[in-house]
Amino acid sequence: MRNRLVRLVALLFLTASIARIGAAQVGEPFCMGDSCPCGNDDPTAGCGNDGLDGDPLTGARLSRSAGTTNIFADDLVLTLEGATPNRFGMILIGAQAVQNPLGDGWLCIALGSAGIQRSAPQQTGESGSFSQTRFVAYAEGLATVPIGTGTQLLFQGYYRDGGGPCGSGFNLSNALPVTFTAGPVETELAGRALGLYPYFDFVDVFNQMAPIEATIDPTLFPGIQSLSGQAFVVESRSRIEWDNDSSLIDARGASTPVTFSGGDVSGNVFELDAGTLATPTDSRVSAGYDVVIDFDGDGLLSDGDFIDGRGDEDGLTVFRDPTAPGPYATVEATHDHGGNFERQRIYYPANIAELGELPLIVVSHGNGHNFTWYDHIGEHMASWGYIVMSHQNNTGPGPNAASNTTLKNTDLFLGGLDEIEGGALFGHVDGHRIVLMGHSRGGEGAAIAYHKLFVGTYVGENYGHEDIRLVSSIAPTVFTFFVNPHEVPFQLWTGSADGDVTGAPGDTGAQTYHLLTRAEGQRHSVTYHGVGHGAFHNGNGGLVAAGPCQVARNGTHALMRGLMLPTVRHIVDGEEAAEEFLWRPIQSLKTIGWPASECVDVSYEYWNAPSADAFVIDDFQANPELRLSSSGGQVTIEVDALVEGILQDSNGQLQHDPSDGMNGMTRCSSIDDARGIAFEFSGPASLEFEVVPEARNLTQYTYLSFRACQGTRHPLTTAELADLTFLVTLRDGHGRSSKIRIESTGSGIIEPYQRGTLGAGLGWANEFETTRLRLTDFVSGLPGLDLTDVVAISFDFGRPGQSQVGRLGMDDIELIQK
Amino acid sequence: MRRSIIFSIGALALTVAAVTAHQQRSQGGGLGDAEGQPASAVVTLLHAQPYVMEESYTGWWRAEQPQVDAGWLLVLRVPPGLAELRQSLTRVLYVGEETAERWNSGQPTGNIVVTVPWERGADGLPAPISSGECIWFGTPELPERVDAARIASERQLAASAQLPVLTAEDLQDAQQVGGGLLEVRDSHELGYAIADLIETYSPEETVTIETLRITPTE
Repeated sequence: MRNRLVRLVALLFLTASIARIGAAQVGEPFCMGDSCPCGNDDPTAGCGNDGLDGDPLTGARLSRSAGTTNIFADDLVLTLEGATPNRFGMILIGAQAVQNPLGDGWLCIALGSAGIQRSAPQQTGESGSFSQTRFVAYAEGLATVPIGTGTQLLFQGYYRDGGGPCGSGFNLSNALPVTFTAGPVETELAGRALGLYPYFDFVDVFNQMAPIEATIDPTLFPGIQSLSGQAFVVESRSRIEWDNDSSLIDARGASTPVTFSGGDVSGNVFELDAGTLATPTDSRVSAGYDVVIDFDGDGLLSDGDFIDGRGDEDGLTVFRDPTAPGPYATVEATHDHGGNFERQRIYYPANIAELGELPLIVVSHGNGHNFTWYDHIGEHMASWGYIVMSHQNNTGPGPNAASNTTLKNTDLFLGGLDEIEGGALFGHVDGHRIVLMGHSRGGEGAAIAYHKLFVGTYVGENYGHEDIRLVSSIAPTVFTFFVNPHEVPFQLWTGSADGDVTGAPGDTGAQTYHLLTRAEGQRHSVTYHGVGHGAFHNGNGGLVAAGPCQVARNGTHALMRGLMLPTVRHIVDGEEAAEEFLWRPIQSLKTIGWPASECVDVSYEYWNAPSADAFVIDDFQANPELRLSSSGGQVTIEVDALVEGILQDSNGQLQHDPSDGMNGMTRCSSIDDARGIAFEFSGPASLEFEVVPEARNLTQYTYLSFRACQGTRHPLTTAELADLTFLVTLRDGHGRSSKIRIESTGSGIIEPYQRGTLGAGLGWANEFETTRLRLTDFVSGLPGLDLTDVVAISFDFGRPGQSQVGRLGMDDIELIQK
Repeated sequence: MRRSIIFSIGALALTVAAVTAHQQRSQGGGLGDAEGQPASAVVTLLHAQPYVMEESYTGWWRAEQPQVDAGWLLVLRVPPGLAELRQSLTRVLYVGEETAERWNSGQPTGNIVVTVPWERGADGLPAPISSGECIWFGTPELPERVDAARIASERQLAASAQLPVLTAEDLQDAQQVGGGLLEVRDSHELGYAIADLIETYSPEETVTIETLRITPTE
């Protein structure tokens, strides 16, 4: 009686479920493990099995792990998990719901009008799971189950279970209803060709007048093989705009015919544009476009077409030269509020009366510097539509005093707009979008100022901490223990040749990265080789630099302009694409106007704001055991001399010292606790991190991100003084793996700046840089790797074609979304 | 005749050590062995003038952050390398029991203009600087972190090093140059007098002079 009642309820539920899947495409799972044949109930999955855990009350679950129901994309991935390891299984496909006992569970689908079919058998592997995709292509070979628009099918997992609780030797999962749909296929198309695997770099940002390429990977979308179409570049539309207007109007004047062959990406790259795409002439620094491959030739975005940028984001963004002046003539004026350290230089667009409210950038100078020494920031940013106020700064006593000057001057400025410049700025300053930017002691002062606003020791009359959108510290001192940017986006600028804020370990107050360590929000750090302290301003005196290949002021200012504008555009103005300037290596994205000197080298570090959408594999902050990651996974160490601990040099000297495993690290003062690892290799070696079960479906992330640096002056660093390269390998639960060279999309890990003193040898403080590898690149051309079940991430060193020896530091291995 | 304060050979050695350490630091090293020792680098007290103000200002140059409405305006000649204003830790300049407030870099002349907050005497004027007081560069620190205890400790170090002290003649000569009491409304107005002194003693520092001469915007 109970069985019949349960089945009735289940079928009623199924009816409702199928009714809903028209909207949801993948409906609610049904036919769960209730009233199972031998009491092996699991109401959250199929009936209980011997399974991975040996618990007869836990069964196998079938669910959508990735992809869409779009028949043209044919990328739906269904995953069976919780089955018995190392057994055969398959996916049953049918069109009619039933519920009949079978094996140790329920058979939930029947032949129906379309018939019942099964996928090819698969091994469940060590993880007791497998995934299946390409259902549309599979069905093409079957006469009874054609999949088209609106086709409703039911899926259920079947697997061998020799030790199962009811003794039948096999079992089934829950079932899952799917309605297949049509529509355009949304995917990345634009990018740039690479000489190495994965052969194509799907990126969004391109420089004006630079060529743009595009591709569709036939291994990811087999259905495009042998298809021809027209490639369109259309002025960017939002999703709603596309819904309302599907016409394809090419911004280049005409579309481009394309044909896709078989093989891999490398044989299917075509030039989308030779650099002709227009950019704005107003205060916008970029233009957005969407890319469409029109396969049916109807001149509309329609079923089966491929689009990059179907949502609100641009498919690609073309940037103007961010180092060049913007469209506005600027006014420069001096205002003295009459008190101590209250003189200000103000920069604003000459046509400000025609403009709305503009963000405010406050500039705080360093000790011995002057508030008139930042024209290169003030004039530049004002020409692009910002108001800049550089103020006299009381830096002599120290950065704490400077912070008070920053706070007071900001208040005076915001409160005095009706008088400053005869009231010309009144109503045109957005007091809720403020950047605090400072140099040297003023750079630390800017961060202290934010801290004081944050904790309430300074209460602004005209603004609060929530109005500060970015703190940007240029070669800052870090004297104070309490300075902390907290959760506000923070940017750090460091010159490796700095002769004042030297960055040297042991140089009290002069290790810029300490401030970066304390920031808790979105963080960006740039380190320029050859840039001295004095090069960051445009005032008197020399470069205050030491070391080779020094970059002059003009070059340094070009670098600053080229990064500052995209940074503010992204963080303050919310321009998403500009983010790529913060992390793509210069070999991948170098701003127009980059100094011509070959000496200029740079490393970027970048962290997204902390998010529940990211997963940290290992940041070394927890589980100090060497062989256990912070996420709880096993770490397999096949490198030499690995140490894990605080990222700080222990003796203040830079010469190689085997007893100082963190030689050259400058990340922590005595109160900071940023931890990481350092190790070396002198031949084939590897470091493997287990991916814990809850994170193994990598399709929910965009990039694998990690930070690494070379160990300064280490004999294994100096033995091959160049960018250090290695492989990153993903391995799935079935033992299949895929490798990418880290230099494929940009560069290896930069060599230390060759500056002397502090002991024998050359090489300055260790420079971390962020590397991001797109996860789908690991399956480009290699469809065998199951991205829904990646069990390990490995860093492989000393392989052929890679650096043969080296000393590395590493930190923050994580999976992140775009 | 204005008389220079002549150092002992020992004090000069300390000065050289301090300058050398400073040069090392600019190359990226930490301070040398002289870091823990005071360096008396004042060669000459050139100018001394008392000042009073109608409106006080906060004295950020020491940890107690006193309200300041009187003090001494001094011009000192020091080795330019030691006078240079930097971001990293540099030697704090002390005058007796006070920290001096720096207003210019002293480049390239080595002449620096400082204000020194000073107690008022019974007559309401800044008390005299006593002969026997010392003007010296102490150990590296941020002035804003220097409190009375630190000053006492620094004074002991200076005494132990037998640094030279001001004589009555030094003070008399400097005050003759400095002239009588300077009465100003506030620190902003004090800045005009400081600008004049910088123009006189370190005229290459035009940006600093121009900055201090900017008047409040009407």
